[in-house]
Amino acid sequence: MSCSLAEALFELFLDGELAAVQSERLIAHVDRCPTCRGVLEELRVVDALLLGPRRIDLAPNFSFAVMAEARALPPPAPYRAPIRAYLVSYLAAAWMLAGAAALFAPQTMRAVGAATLGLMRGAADAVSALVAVAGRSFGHDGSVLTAVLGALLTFDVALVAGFGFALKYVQPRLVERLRS
Amino acid sequence: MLRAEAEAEVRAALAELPERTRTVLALRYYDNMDYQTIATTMGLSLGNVKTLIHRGKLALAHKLKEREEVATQGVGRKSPLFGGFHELQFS
Repeated sequence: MSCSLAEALFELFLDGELAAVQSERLIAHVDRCPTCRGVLEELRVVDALLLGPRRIDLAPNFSFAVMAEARALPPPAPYRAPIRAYLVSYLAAAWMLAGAAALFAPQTMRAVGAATLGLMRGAADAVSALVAVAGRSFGHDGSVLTAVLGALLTFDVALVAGFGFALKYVQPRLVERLRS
Repeated sequence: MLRAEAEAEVRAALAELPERTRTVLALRYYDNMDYQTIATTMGLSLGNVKTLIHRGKLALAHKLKEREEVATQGVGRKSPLFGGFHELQFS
């Protein structure tokens, strides 16, 4: 093997992509040729230097500067859904709608109420104790309108109570858990 | 510390190489690109890329030796590169 051919194979040899037979021939040549041995050694050194783990040099005050910048930022403001506004809006809209329907469309209201009451009665046992309570409490006199308004009132009372409970007991625990 | 000095020497020696050679070596060894990807990226032939890398590494070795000689003459200490190569622990 000539020196020029050996040098052409050095990169493949260093990359481990040279066939075994050619590698043996190359090694035999390098053992005999001090020039090629020197070149191969130089390439090995450069490979090792280039392939070695690289260290990233940070500025001496890097951590301090980052922390100072972080502290200078305004505190993060988590998104807070306007739940109170939603609740008040719902209550006002529901009762205005129910009142308007009772005043201006009693026949339609009775039809809607009958359908609602039928559904409530059908699903009372399996689906919702709240609806069952509403049906028993307000539907015993046979007035459909009373039953619907009673169910709405019961639902609203339960909603407000649930909201108050969540605001008082659940929210502080969630906030504490998020902070920890 | 020896490793950091060697890295600084290599970076300085790389900076002295022609731009195209430096780019090819950087793509090969810092971005871990294969030869074909480098050729496609730079619009070169595969053989040209292999030649550039081979000659670039030899040129880099030459530059490192020059820097080593200057360092040993100027300070009178052993360089972390070729002269002190066997002290380095390469993984």
